[in-house]
Amino acid sequence: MLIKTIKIMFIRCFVMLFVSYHLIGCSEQNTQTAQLTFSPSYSGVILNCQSIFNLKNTAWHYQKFQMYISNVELFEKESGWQIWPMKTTPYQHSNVALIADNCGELQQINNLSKEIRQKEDTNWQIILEPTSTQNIATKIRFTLGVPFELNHLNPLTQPSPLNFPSMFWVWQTGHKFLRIELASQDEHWLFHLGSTGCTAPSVMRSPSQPCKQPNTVVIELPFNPKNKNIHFDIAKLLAEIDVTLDTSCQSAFGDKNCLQPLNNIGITGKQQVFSIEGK
Amino acid sequence: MLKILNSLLMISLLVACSKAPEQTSKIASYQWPIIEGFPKPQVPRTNPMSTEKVALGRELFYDVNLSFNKTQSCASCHIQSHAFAEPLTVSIGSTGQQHRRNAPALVNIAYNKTLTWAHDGLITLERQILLPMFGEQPIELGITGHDVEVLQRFDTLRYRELFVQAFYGKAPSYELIVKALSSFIRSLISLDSPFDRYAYLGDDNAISTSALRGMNLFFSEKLECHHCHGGFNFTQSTSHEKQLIDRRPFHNTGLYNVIDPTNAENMQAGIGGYPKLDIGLAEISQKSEDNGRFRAPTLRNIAVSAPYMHDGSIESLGAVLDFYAAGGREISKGINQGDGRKNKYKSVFIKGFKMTEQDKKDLLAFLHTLTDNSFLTNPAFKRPR
Repeated sequence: MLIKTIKIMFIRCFVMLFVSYHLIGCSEQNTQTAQLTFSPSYSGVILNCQSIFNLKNTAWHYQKFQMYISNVELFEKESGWQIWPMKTTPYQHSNVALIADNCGELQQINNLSKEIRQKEDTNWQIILEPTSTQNIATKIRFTLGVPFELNHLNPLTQPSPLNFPSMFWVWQTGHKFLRIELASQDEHWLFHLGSTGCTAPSVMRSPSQPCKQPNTVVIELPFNPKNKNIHFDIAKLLAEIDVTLDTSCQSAFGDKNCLQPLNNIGITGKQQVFSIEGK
Repeated sequence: MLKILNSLLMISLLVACSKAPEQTSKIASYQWPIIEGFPKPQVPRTNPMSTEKVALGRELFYDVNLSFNKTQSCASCHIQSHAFAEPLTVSIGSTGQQHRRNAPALVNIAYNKTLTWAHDGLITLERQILLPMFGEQPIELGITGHDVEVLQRFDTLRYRELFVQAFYGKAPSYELIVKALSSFIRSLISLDSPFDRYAYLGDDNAISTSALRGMNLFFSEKLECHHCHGGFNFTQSTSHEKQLIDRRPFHNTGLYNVIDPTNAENMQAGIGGYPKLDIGLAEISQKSEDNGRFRAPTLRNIAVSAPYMHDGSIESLGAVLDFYAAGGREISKGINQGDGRKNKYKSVFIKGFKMTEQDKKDLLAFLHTLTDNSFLTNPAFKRPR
């Protein structure tokens, strides 16, 4: 009797599990998680908008951290590099994702729920289509920036997140690929990365040829299927930069304030800003 | 047993994969006066647009019966030829009381992410309109205390007919008045300037070479104008059907840095803020870093909506350019004395820049290309007969 009851219970559990698997299955297609997580950090310590890091004995924090990541690819011995397609979400379209932390511009609004604040204000994940390659890949690469074909289109007709005015300069130069703004009590430092040297009849016209300085960076990292956390190390970005002297760089060609940031992010030097967590 | 299991699985699959029928949404018949490709504004679900509501809202907008003493209508401070702003430093209400702020232009308000000069929670016109109607500090239309009497004025044959058409037979009420006014104000769309013809219709000859130079300057990193006045509406505070990510930016431009003589410590350190009369967003958020932060207004039709800034304290567009070139404003005398350029909460983008006389002319020429004459003279927005 007891054995029979256990048997029935076992079958019931099995059925329940199967049913729930299918219920989830049709909305998600596959329950396997396929996402990359980005975290801003300072020398390995993960930061948020309130976190302090010290530069020349002064407390600094970031006020804005936004970037476009495009064309994620995985490398696996047999088939080489393969695109890892992104899902379409408000933060992702055409294999371009916006990673963003706007530091609580919404936090002041009393009647917004915490979920909405977080949802609207921050996005640290890239949600990808599950692929079997993700279990065997050894390397990952992605582009910091928006591909030329998508970078200079009419922002009005673009889908989110490519229609986001605070990440768009003008048709001629296109999107800001990276927008990072730091602040201390009395000072600011900012770095806006984007294409320059784009030939167009005016700022409101698109270039027909790729820009002289596309300023996109392909980041290649070792891939560990169990650790998909990617750090953006602000300490590495600021290497050899005196934030109190070289106060801002907006990618202008020849701007001396841009020499070191462009080197550190990997345009003119070897990038060290992105790394797999713990490596 | 296996049979039962199988049929259960089949049912589970069927249930799991059948989609709920899509909700049939009412398709609004209202035609936005926008060119192909422009995203449509988002309108509250509780107040969809209709031509009948817009028509009623227009009557109400121009009707002095909406003020308690029949002296003012919305249009008293929002004048079409001035892009629905007014040429006064600050507005004056129906009792003669001065407002502390300059009447903002009503241009493409339907796209505004937030309303008024500095309020991050005020996101629908239906709520904002209550302020001029019922607000007591300051008194604008002054309906509070006279609400029965004022509402009765709309119990006329003409209005009853308009209400019936707009609201399917409902009698006049404040809720419906607010909805109709909101609809009319949302209909005030201006996207037909020479700039639009250049930028969005590809007409290379729509603006002068001077304006073209000014436009290139405006969008340069040297001047940084577009950081706050960016996007198709020339304000970052824009939202529309395709804008899925919310941002509500407010900025301190270094207009003031008033040293508070009652605070000896601050006096000594030279730390001030905006005049107590109006500290901007900080009044709502209670955060000191929001002191002096205001919403960047659209620059569309900016040439006709002088004077400028939240308190109308800059008279002309040329003076506004000088102000930004200087990276803020120093006031050397009077109660507002202080160097706004050194305001500690000033936006990082207000750094000042060098501007030649020619640059200034070009920038002004560009700003004038944002004047949309068809908007300023559109008969559909005029006082109804």
